Amino acid sequence: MSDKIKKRRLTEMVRNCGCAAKLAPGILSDVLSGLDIPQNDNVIVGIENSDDAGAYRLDDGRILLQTLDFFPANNDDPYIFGQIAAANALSDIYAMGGTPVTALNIVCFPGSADISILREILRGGADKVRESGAVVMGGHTVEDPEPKYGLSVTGITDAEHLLANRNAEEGDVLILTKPIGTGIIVSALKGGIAGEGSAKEAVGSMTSLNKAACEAMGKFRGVHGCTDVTGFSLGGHAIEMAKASSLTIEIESGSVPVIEGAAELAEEGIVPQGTYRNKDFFGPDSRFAADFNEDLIFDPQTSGGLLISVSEEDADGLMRELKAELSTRCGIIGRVTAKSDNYLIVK
Amino acid sequence: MRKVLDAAGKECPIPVIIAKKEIEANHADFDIIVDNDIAVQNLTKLASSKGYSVQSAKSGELITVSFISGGAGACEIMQDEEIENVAAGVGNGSWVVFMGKDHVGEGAQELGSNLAKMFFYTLSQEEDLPASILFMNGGVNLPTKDEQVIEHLKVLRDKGVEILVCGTCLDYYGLKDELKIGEISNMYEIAGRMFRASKVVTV
Repeated sequence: MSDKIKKRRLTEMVRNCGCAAKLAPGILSDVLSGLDIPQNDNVIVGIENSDDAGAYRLDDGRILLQTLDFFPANNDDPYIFGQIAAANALSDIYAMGGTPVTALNIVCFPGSADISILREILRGGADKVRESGAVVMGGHTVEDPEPKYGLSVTGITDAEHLLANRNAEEGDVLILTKPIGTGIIVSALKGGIAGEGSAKEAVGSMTSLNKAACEAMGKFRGVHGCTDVTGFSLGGHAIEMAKASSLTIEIESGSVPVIEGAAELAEEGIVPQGTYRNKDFFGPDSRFAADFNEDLIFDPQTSGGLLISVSEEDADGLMRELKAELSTRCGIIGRVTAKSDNYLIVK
Repeated sequence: MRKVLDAAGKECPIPVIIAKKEIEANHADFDIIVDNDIAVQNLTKLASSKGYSVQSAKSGELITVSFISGGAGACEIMQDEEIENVAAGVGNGSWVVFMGKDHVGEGAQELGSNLAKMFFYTLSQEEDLPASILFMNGGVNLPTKDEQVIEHLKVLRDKGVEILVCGTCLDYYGLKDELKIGEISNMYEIAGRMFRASKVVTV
């Protein structure tokens, strides 16, 4: 891609990067609350609990999972952007305890831009879908000045393995399978000030599938609930899980894995707009008992890790399994308690 | 002269990066103009981490965030008349001079012509310089024929002041080939400079 230098950088064509481009959660819930959603007995998980994917019971007892995720370019390398977008879209299936089966590309691309860039984006996506074991069946492309890419993914699971965010149990331990801070690092990358180590860790984390983490979860009956951490941030997704389960989540701030350099950049004001939207929406449901940077807890993640609620008995076994299988940093970051004064307490 | 950085229309994190580079390069006080509240909040974080305090003042769509070294990072939002004062102060480098004739004031022509020479000399010695000097109608006699004024204008130009001369006016007076300094411009540009200026000084 030697001619890439002459062209506009991919991230210069977009306003918001990655999952930071999500519509504010407050607006979304207002819109959804005004919609008449038809009831169907086969819908096991619908849009009511802000879960990762929809779940529909098929005739033979298997459960169909459907999800869709796409966003504006968040990396100047189109191949890497394609991988990130695909890993992010596939993640919703893993967060439900499923196996991705088929995928469809969703593409927005400027008519005037070099078509070889689009080819690289799709190649990145196809490689990740292949790694997941699913197949790309087609897609749809719309002309748009802002390049965007993602996938609609269909997966399969069964009642025994289905993981919703509503089933966390009191006394559970919380495990996070990737470090947080991708929103901050993507912003810094866009501005050309991210350190090499930070960029490498963020890109490595965003392009990693949550497949191995999902397979590890499948081995432990004590895994009760799961969600993946994306645009609504660790804090936001933890609050959604706590609300759906009517419990409180306590996060030990010192135990949360954070991408190298992200805390320092946040202190210097490299904070994406999505963080402020997350704070506005989720802030009232949280209490900070420790002096921990709120800009990290509410940093919108792109292709973030799984947040797993697991029984205390199985937590160590799952952690051992995860540490053996994952290339990203993971850790036990907190626990689930009876509902107290707030849904999220950061200690 | 207090530096003013324009980051209006720039998406986050660009305003913070512009300000960070300014701090690292000059370690001095400066103002940065932005157009959204997120940028103000992020600049406040930057200021705090670098030992600056900030003041921000809103004027229409634009917010001027002033970085003041040695502060603790507190962000004071100023109100009403204070905003007016700050908005005028922001005018460092954003005001313009309009010359619609070749003399200063009304009265004796010779005196008016000498006053014009003195005006441009005085301006060239100022620390607080305008962004642009705009010549229209009879004003175009100055950058074409008045040797002393041309000398002062050269000093101003070398200090970064933009000099725009009405092309229609030069044509009308047959002076287009006589222009010694400045760029031939048009009503669109000249009027635009005046509309966007923090103040217009008409002599």
